[in-house]
Order: sequence, then structure tokens, then C-alpha cells
Amino acid sequence: MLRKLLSMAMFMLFFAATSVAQNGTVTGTVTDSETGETMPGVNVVIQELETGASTDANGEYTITGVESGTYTIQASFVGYQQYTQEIEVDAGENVYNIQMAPDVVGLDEVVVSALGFEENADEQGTSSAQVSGNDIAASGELDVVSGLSGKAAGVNVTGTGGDPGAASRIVIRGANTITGDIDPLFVIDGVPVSNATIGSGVGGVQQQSRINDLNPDDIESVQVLKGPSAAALWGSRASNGVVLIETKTGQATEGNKVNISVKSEWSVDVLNKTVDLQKKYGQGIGGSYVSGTPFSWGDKIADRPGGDDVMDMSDGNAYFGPDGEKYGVITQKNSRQTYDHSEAIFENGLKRDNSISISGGSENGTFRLSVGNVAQDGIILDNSDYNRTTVKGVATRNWDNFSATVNAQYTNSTSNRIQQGSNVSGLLLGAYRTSPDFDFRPHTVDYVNPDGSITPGKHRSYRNPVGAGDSPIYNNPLWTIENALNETQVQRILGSTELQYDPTSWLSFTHRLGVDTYTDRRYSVFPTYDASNPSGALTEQKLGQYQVNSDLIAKASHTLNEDFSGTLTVGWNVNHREYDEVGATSTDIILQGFNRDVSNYNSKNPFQERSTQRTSAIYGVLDISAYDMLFLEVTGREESASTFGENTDGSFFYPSASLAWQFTELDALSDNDILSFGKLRLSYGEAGTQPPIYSTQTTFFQGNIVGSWGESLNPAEYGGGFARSSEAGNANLKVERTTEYEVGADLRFFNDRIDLSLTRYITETEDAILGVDRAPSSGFSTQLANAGAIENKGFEADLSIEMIRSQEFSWVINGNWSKNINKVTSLAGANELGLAGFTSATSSAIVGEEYGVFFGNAWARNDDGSLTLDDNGFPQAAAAQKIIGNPNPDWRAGVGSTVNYKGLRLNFLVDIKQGGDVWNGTKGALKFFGVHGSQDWETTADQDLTTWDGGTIQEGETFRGYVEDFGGGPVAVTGVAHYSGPFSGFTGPAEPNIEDGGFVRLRQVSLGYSISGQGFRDATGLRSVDLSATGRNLLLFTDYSGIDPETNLTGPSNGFGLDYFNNPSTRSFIFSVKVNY
Amino acid sequence: MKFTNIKYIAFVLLLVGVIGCDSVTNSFTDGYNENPNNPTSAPADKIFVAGQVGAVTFLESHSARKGSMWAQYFSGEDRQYSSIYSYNVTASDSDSDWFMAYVRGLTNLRLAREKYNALNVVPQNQVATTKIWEAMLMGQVTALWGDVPFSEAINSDETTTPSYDGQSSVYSSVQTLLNEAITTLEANSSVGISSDVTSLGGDASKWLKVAYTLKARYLMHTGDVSGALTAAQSGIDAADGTGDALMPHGPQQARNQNLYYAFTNVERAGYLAADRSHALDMLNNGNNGKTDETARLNYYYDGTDLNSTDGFAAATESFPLVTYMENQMIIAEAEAAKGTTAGNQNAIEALNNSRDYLDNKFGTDNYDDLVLTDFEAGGAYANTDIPQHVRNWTYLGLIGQIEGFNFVRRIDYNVDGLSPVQGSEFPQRFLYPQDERNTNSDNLPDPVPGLFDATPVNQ
Repeated sequence: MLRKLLSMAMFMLFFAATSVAQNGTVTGTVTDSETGETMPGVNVVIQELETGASTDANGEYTITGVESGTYTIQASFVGYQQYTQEIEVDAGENVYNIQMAPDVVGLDEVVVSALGFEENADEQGTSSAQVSGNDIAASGELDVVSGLSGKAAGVNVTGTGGDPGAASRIVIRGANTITGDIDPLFVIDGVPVSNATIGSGVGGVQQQSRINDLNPDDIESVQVLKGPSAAALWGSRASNGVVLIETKTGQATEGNKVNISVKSEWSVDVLNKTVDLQKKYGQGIGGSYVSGTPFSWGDKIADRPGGDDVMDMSDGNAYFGPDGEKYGVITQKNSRQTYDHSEAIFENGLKRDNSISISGGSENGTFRLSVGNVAQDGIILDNSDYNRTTVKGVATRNWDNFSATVNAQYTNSTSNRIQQGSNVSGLLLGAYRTSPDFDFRPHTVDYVNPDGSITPGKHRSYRNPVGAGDSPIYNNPLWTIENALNETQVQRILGSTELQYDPTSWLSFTHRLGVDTYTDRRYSVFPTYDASNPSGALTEQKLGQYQVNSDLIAKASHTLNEDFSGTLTVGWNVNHREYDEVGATSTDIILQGFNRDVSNYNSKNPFQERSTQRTSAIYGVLDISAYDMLFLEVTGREESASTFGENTDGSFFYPSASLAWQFTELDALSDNDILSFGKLRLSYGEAGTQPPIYSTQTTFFQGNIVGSWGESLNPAEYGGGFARSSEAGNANLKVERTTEYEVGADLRFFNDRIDLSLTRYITETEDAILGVDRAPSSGFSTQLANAGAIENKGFEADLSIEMIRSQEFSWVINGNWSKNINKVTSLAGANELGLAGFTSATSSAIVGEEYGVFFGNAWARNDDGSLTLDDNGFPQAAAAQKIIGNPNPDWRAGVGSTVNYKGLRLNFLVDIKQGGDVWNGTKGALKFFGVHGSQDWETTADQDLTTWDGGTIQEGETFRGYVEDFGGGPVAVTGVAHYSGPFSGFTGPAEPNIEDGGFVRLRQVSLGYSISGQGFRDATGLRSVDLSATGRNLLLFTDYSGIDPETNLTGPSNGFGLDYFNNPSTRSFIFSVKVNY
Repeated sequence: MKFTNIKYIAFVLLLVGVIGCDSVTNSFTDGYNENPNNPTSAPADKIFVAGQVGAVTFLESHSARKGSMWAQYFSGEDRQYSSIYSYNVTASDSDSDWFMAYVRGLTNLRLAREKYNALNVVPQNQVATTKIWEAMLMGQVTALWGDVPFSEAINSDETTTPSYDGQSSVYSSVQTLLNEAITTLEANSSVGISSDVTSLGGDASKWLKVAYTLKARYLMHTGDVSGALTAAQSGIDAADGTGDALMPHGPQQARNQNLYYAFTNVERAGYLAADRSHALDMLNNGNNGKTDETARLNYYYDGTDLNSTDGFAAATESFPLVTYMENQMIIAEAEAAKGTTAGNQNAIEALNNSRDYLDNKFGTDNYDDLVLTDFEAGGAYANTDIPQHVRNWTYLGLIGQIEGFNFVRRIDYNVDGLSPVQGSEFPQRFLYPQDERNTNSDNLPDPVPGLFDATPVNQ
């Protein structure tokens, strides 16, 4: 499509240039060899005569005044292989139709510049990655970001969980800021849009990213500007790169035909990988059954007599189940029945994705309308779903030297999510911890009070087996699934206009205006008897963002002579962003069951937040090309932003420069059979990250004084109070500055069959804004300051090999590899800065280390590295915390291949992450409770063994535990070492729960067949029917013992690699039918 | 020619556009950095309320629970609290306590005082009350940690790394604050105190007595027993509890609920209980011919849980900051320490006052007056000498409060039947917080003391 657009533009440029002559005439139609569509704007040249013409809107060309003879005709067009053919020309009309084959090697040859203009990739001095919309849609992912996984070097995408609509974390190359946003700026059709993810934390639900609102089927291409050297024109929003998304537009069609495409896709989602739980020992402690205890350190289930359990049916100890039967507290456990708490709460999910698009146009204008709906039922039994409807329209009208485009999109999405993480109301926390011999059915019972009266609707869980009291302590997962609601409804409108005016051939003006606005309406309902909110709770929240962006751009070009030409672009950008959030958390419900009305709660805590942020800039770009081989680009942006401190200058300048040298244009190399194209790139750029809003002044707040365990008092209840913020304002805050140096080469061999791109970059961020810890005794505990520094050095390689290239059969292998080494170089004297996680293991910034390393509790060690043992020969936790792991991978790679044979297309993508630790907090916690799968040990002592608490296990005794020698002779590691001693995540160091999260993943494999033969077309009147079957995430090889290591508790946050009862991810089987009329 | 000129002019204009357009860009962004959510200043009364609520949150939340576990009033039964209970504690565990005391408490109390002092007519009683609050807060802070920042604290314009004052110096500063407050309030005892969050309702004469009881408390900490006795004699004197400084609570979650309730019932069910409570055992075994502890037992405990239904940890139950009970216990301890018959007699009188107080509180008649012979053969407390009984009794009088932990450390845990829950040593302090170690390490005592190292006054 890009080719089409470009061809339209070129056609208009050359329209007036058609020449007039006398002799023979060469004429014909140029078509795309794959689609059969006509191609306007193609240059057709008769080589010997240095004369030619370009094709008109119908793809037809006419070259007149050609003397009879034998000539070589050439046709060339960006993105297509050059066409060369010998022809005979006689007097009169000679018809030569030309079929041009798309250049399937590597990425598209047309790239989008930072300002949204299409440019020739071979003239760029910076590296960029481009992924087509079709490839993204084919990935089977719901959102664009996930669809980029493994497809481009240096573009690192990590899913954060498997819940429907969950956000993905995208970091390009490496983090170029310490506490600012690490995700890139998203720009759709030249207009920046929001990709916010709001509300992620260690508990709660998996949140969406707002880029999810885009339907991948509407995307033409995604181009990633990987760093400041390519993205400096976006100034203080570009230090982490820019993702430029071009949406599909209509195409000029033959005879005003309207194209209609209908797609229907069905997908079955399956639980990918779950946590191993032991089923050998029952609820209890010390080897005996105890009802209601959190632990599963009880008796061996197989040793029970079997039969019915003995129950205490007395008042206060009993309940009536939904079956009307009475049950009581189990006093003697006889049953040997066990239950699967790891998989019982999951089912197969189903996703339906239907869309229709209508498009068409002529040289006067084009249009495209599309409607898409995705309805996904998650793998959790209930209340886990996502439903997104998108409506999009784009229309362009062209006049001689003026064109106007209107682009509008509306998205309505609804979603239900299930609580996860560090959260006693969370799904897996309650599920995994439940003892294997406890049946969590029924979850709702009629409790018999001590006085004999009945309270209906009580919440039963393994820690509260008869539903006594108000709290189940941990939610019963089935109760959570059925009762706790977390809804979100998002309505979003994206609209933009673009006007282009070309008063002369060398001057053009472009104006783009974009509006992006959405509201996100959230309901979070915890009914009565929920573990977190025994009295019931409702959080209602409405939040929204609003962004207006305007760019006025003037572009002038001048050709000095045959060898030198240049273009100067100047623009003015203004950007206005607002955030608005209002809501309330209400607790203590009045009428049970009527959960969704604020007035039905006794206690209400409202909250509100607003902000406005403005940015304005003047920018310019100077492009100079020399001798058709040297391409220099210099850019500058002078920018002001409202977030800068009062004591700063208020505006900052961001320069960049890049040079591309097509050395194969040198005479000596121009006819090289091996190296068909070679380019060296050199670039430099600066970009920034704005300070967080309203950080320049110290403020006072009316709000809760919250203790570290969540308990809090609100001064409003005591006459009203304003406390000073614990964060000191900083009037000197300025922009973070990221400088990037990049050098690389783009090489193509053997007539462009092998395409290799290599890039080396160094990125340094200075004045990184971070919350510098202050001694709390000074009155502030933190202050934002331009105090940090961080650098990234990396290497990227993209390789594409066209193994077979023919009309009917093609086979392409492509791969990418990237390695990034990140180093935090300054934290203003602080030792450690926590990014996300828990005290026991925090993903942190630490000077001299990679960003995000785990800082936490470790084993105490002697100077020689051996464990420091206690009197009984067991290791101990060290007093001080230290670095215990690194979630950054050593390198990442993607390997894919596509085979096309006639209409058949087979394609796969393997995604490899080498190294990169994950904190398996789930395992650490489960070890405390004695339910982790590894804890079904049964050992017979071959000698007397000491236990952690100093007890002795006699030789010959069989015990639950294992024997290990920590350096002081063999000892017995038993239950007590886990629930009291340091062998669990709660009671001991996090170090043993750091695991290698590296993986090899068959991310995608798909088989497609397109029926589009001429006979089929004639018979049906359809252009084509495309059928495909895709497997997503089918195979996963990893040493990680928890769920899929591609997860993060805190969503797409700066800190990463955290797994703590995260809802697991999925794999999918996808079937799709697309009918094109 | 003309064509070229236009082109030339256009290029120049475009270049001019790039250079020097600050004013164009600034005019669009200026004036948008004012925070619409939070003001940059607040009046003294509002800051004072916040400071009091901050100080109470320190006195009533994690620090109180932690102190209560180490004093064995309550026990930690789940996760981190089981570790803390068995003395398995790290520096970061103190972060929130320290933060609450300094950033939420002291900062706002001192800011409020600064603002009061800056008013055209300085409200002297307000200033005095901020001093009492500061003394109550920092007295506990120094009791828990020993040497702490005081004179250079909360003055970030001057220093971001406040030095640590010696513990004795902090205690003497606390006394100075109380003396100043007492002087002021004695001169203006009829002038009400506004923005008082406690049960005292702004009554200056009651605050005056609270100041005296606090003086007595901290003089006891520093071993000035006779000074403490003198101060206590001017301290809280209402046996019906109307002179007690209490933090009132209500039913609203995350707004005014009792913080013990919020912790044990809302936020962390199962963490804190009384499965292994020494105070519970003592109350269970505390009944004799003179004493029936049933009501007190049921007030604090519900089986092996805290009583969160209608007792100490109920949502609406007020939390004690300074009470008549404590004042009488100081008198009893100081008198008993004299080792004289008169002293013993006075100690018993103070004990009886406190027993009346309990009967008033519980609406019971469970505590008969004691006499000297109760401590002789055949008496209800025949096996206990008076000073030991006073210690036992004081121990039970401070359940759930930081002061209970201060008390047991001060008396070397010399309460009948108290032994360490793990190992052979008792905890002697709160650890210096990790946050302060990270940011102010040069000023921390060197070496940094451990959990079992007593603070200077207890050495």
C-alpha cells in the first residue's frame, strides 16, 4: 500500500512531464506480479535512449518517438525488483506489458521518517525496523505491541500476563531513563497518542495498555525509530524511541471498484504452563491434620484409612452446603481424596475476531472504512474477558496541488479481570496455597452460628473451612471468580486531519491536527466476606486522557545540479495533554448483594487527580544528497514544556545528524556481482524525557496517613488536616538528556538475495530524573532530581536470506539478534533505587549494574563464598541485602521463515531469550505453606540427622524432608526449616527463588492458503479467499519452574522479572478465513 | 530570476523560524505547572491536625504492634509477623516506623508550630500543644532507637543529613519542650486549644496534666525516679478516665478505624494474635481473692485473638496515648522504689487508684482495694514483693502500647514469668532503618547497634 501511495505521489509529480515525439511508440500496462493490480507512477525507461515515462493512474505508460530497433527496457519502483527486458520496437504502437515482482527481501524499502513522511530506506543514516501490518495481524495477538514480539532486533516485547487484554511491556534497546516512562512514544499517522497503562501494582488486576485500542487489522505498517539519533525530532518524548504506526488507507482501484474484505478468526486459548503443587501431604502442621491452618505440613494422605472424615457438627463449627446437607469442622481426616488446585480454575478460552473493511478510490481520492470486533473469553472460568469494537474511517481527496485527509477511529472496549498477585483476594494466591486435600467446593455456605442461628451466604475457604467470622483470610478462588468483579469500559476517539498544499514543485505545506481522547470507566467490586474487604467494597473510577497535537510543516527542496540536491523542512509543533481521574473507594456495605451503588456503602473515600501538560517546539530538518551516494540529514528541535522547573531556562534544544553512504555507487563497486548494495551509516542524536508533572514545587495534601501495612487514618475525620508531602519539590528540574551514537551498515548480496544489517549503538542518558532518597529525619524522604545517569551499549543484526526466488515458489529465512548491555552509572550517591517489587526482592537501579537487577535478601556467606552456617549446620539469611539476580537477558534473537508456494504460505517464528532471571516469588511463598510441588519429599535417614530447630531424626526414620550438606555435614531439611527457618520466601532469603527465565519459544507457526487464481476470480467474482491456521506460543522451552517466564507482576513497569501469583499466560490455536471482494 | 528570489526568501524565512523562537514556544507552555490537586501551603491548624494524626499513626500502628510482640502482649502468627515475633527482623522493617515519626509526625508538628509563631498574634497554647506532641513523639522515638536526629532534624534547607543527638540530650530536649509547654499552659489554662484531635477536646488544663505525666514518663526512662514522682503528682488525676489523652476512632474503614482493628481485621487477618501472649497468661492466672481479671482479659483478648469486636482492638475503640493508669503506675513504681513502709503504703494507694480506674473503665467491681498485708503470708499476693507486683501490674497496664515495650526494657524484662521467645536475649531496641542507613550513614552510631544492644539509658 505504501508503494501505492508513493506511486500516486510520484505520478502527480511527473504528470506534467510527459514528452512528445514522432517515431514508434512503446506502450503497456505495469502490474504487480502478485496481486495483478495496476501500478501508477512507475518509471519505465529505454536504457539506450535515456528516455522514458511514468505510468498513469491506470498503470499505463507511453513512450513516443522511439526509432525502430532493439532496446533494453527497464522499469523500477521502490519496493520492487528492477524489471529489465530486451524489446523490439517497430514503427507504430509496440505493446509491452510489464509485471513487477515485489522485493520480498527483508523489510519494505520505504520507511517513514520521524515526521511521518515516506522516504527511501536506502538513503537513511539511521537504523530502523519496519514490520508490516499483515505480519502483526498474523501473529494472533490482540494488540500491536505483542505482535512485534521477536520480529525486530532491539525491540524487546514482554507479555505481562495471560489475561484478556493485558498490556505488554515494550522497551527498545534498553531503558534510557531510570524512573521515567521507559516505553517509546507512539505516533499514529503522524499524531502522538497515548499508550498509558494505569493502575498496575503488586496486587490488583492485569491492566491494559491503551495501544490495545487499535485493531491490528487496520495497521499498514509499524516502524520503530530505535533511539534519539532517529527520533530527535520528537524531543523530550523520544529518548526511548518512537513507534510510528501507519494505518491502512484506501487504494485507487480499476473502474471505481469497491474492495470488500471480510475476516473471521476463531481462536482457542489454552493454559500454557502452570505451577507444580504437591498432593502427597495434607493440611496441618507437624505431620498431623489441623483444620483451618494455612499449612500443608500435615499427615501423609496415602496413610489415611480412607472413608468419610469425622466432623464436629456443633453450632459455630458447621455449615449447610448448597445441597442442604450439614457439614462441620473436620476433626479427623480419613479421606484420601486430593484436588488439583493448579488447573481446576481454568478452562479453554475462546476468542472471536471478526472484521470487515470497505475501500476504494480513484486518482481524485480514496477511502477505507472498517469495523472490527474481538470477543475473548479468558482461560479463567468466569469474569475474565475482553471485548473490543473498533470503527475506523479514512478518506483522502486530491486536487491538483492540494489534498486533504480525514482519519477517525472509535473504539469501545469492555473487559472483566480477575485479581492477582500479592493480594489475599487474588486468584492464584488463594488457589495455590490451598491444601491438596481441601475441596474448595462449595465456596458459599450457610453458616451455623455459635448460638444456633444461620447466616446465609458465607465465604468458605481452606483457612476458614466452615465460613465462620467475616473473613476467609484468603479468598476461595472459585468465590473470587464468581463474585469479585473488576470491570473496565474504555471509549476512545482518535481523529486527525491532514492538509497538504503544494504551491510549486519545490515547496509544500502540511498541516496535521490530531485529537486523542478516551475515558476508562472502572468498577471494582469486592462483595461482603471478601478477604481484603470483609465488609464489602466498591471502587468506582473514571479516568481519561485528552491530547491535542498540531504540526505545521513547510518543506522546500532544491536541486543545485546533477550532483547536489537538498530539502529543508521546518515545522511548528504544539501539544496539549490532560489527565482527569475521579472516583471513590467505598466500604462497609449496607445491603449485601447490592454491590454497585456508592450510596449503599457506609464509608466512602473519594479521590481525584487532574493534570495538564503542554509542550511546544520549533523544528527543522535539512536533507542533502550528493552524487546519489551521500545522504546527510541534520535536524534540530527547540522545545519548551510546562513540566520544567521555574529555575531552568524553560526550553531545550535537541540536535541530530546522520550520514548514509551508498559506497556501492562508487564506480569500482557498482557492477559487483556479489555485493549488490552497500551502505554505511553514521548518526548522532539527542532526545529527552520530561520531568514528571508537578514535581517542581513542594505541596501539602489532604489525604490518608497510611501505615506500611495499609492501615490508615484520614485527617478529615479529625477536623481536617493538610500534611506536607514527603517529596520535596525541585524548582531546578530540567529535561533528561539522552545522547545516542550509532554506526552501522546495510549490505545486500547476490542480487539482493541476502540482506544484512548491522548496527552498533551507544546511548547515554544524563540528568536522569529520579527520586533521590533523602534521610527521612530531614523531613522529606525523597526528592526528584536530575541526578542519575544510565547508558546502553548494544549490537543489532538483522539478516534475511532469500533461499528461493521464483514466480511460484519463494522461501525466505530471516533472523534478528540483539544484545544490549545496560549500566546505571549514577544515582546521585544513593546505593539502591527500588523500581518494583517487594522488600525481599526488588527490581532495582544500582550504580554499576544493569537496570532492574534484583536487590534482596541473600544467604549469609563467608569470605570464601561458602555459606555461613548456624549451630545446627544450616545456612542463614545475611543481615544486609545485596544483588541476587539480573532480569536482563544476555541476548535476544528471533528466527523466522516463510515459504510461499503458489497460494500456499507457511511461516514460523522462533523467539529466543538467553538468560534473564525471574524472581519466582510464588515458589518462595508456596514453600512456606508446604504445598510447592517440590515438597513431596519422603526420605529415610541413613544416619542420625539434625533438623533446623535442633531436633534429631534417628537413623532409619522416614521423614518428610531431604538431606543436604551445606558444608557442616548432612542435615535434614524438614517442614520447620520452611515455616520457621529460612527455607521459604517468607521466612528466608529470596536468593534461592531467583531462576533463569531464558526461553526458546515457538511464538508463531502458521499455514495459509490463498485462493486467487484467474479461474476462481472469474467464477466467483471475488479477488481472493485466504484461509489460515496459526498456532501461537505452541512450544516453550525453559528452565523456569513457575508459569511462563514472560510475565511481570507489576505490568509494563520499569521494574521487571517479578512473578508472584501472576495469572498465567496462554497458547492459542487460531483459524481464520478472509474473503476479499 | 523572480522565481529564485522567492525561493531564497523562503529558505531564509524557514531558517529564521528555526532559530530563536523561544517566545513562540514558551508562550504556549507558560503557566501550566501549577498543581491543581495539591496546594503549596496550608494554614497552621490544618498542618497541626495532620501532624497529630501522623504522630498517632506512629504510636498506634506497626511500632506499637512490634513493641507489643516483643513485650509479649501479642504474638506474630503469620508470615513477616511470625519472623518479627521471634526476633528475626531486618533494618528495612523499621523504615515505615521512622518515616511515620519524622516525615508525617515531627515534620508537620514543627511546621505547624512555625506557622503559629509566624501569626500576627501568636496563639501560645497552640504552640505549647505542638511542643507536648513533639515531646510525646520524640520521647518514644529516642526510647526506641537511642541516639536520634533531633536538633538538626526537619530542617532540609540547612541540612539533608541531620546529625544524631545523644539519647540523653534528646531526653533533655524533650523535658525542655514539656517545661516550656507547662509554663505556657499554666499561664493560659482557660484558653482552649483548637484542632485537638484527641479525646481531650482542646481543654488546656487537661493538656497541662498530660504534659506532667509525660514529664514523669520520660524522667523514669532516664532514671530520675524522684523527679518523675514529683511530676506525676501534677499529672493526670481523673480516675474516671476523663483526663486520659486518647485517640478517638470510628467505624469508617481507612478513615477513622482503630489501627489495631484495621490491621487485624481489614488488612492482615491472622498476622497478629495472642496464641503466645504472656500478658494473656498472666491475666488468665491473675484472679485471686482481691482481683478478678475477667473483664480486663475479655477487653484485650477474644480467645487467642485480640478482641476486635468490643474491646481494645474494636473498630471504634479509642487508643490510649497517655492515661491516668500510667500516671498512677509511675507513682507506684517510684514510691515502691523507696523501699520504705511509707513508700509501700503510697505505692499501694497508687495501685488502688489504678484498680478503681479499671473498675470505672469496665463498669465492674472486680478490683478490691489492696492493703499491705496482701503482700504478706496468707495475702492475695503473698509470694510477691511490692516492687515486683508494681512491675507486673504496670506491665499489664500498658498492653498494646509502645510504652509497654519501653517499660519492660527499662526493668530488664523483670516481669514474672517473662522469658525470651527465641534464644536467651530480649530485644532492646528498634533497629535503625535501612532508609536512614542508605542516606545518612555518616551520622549513624558506629557500629550500628543490633537488636539486642540496649539503648544508652538502659545500658
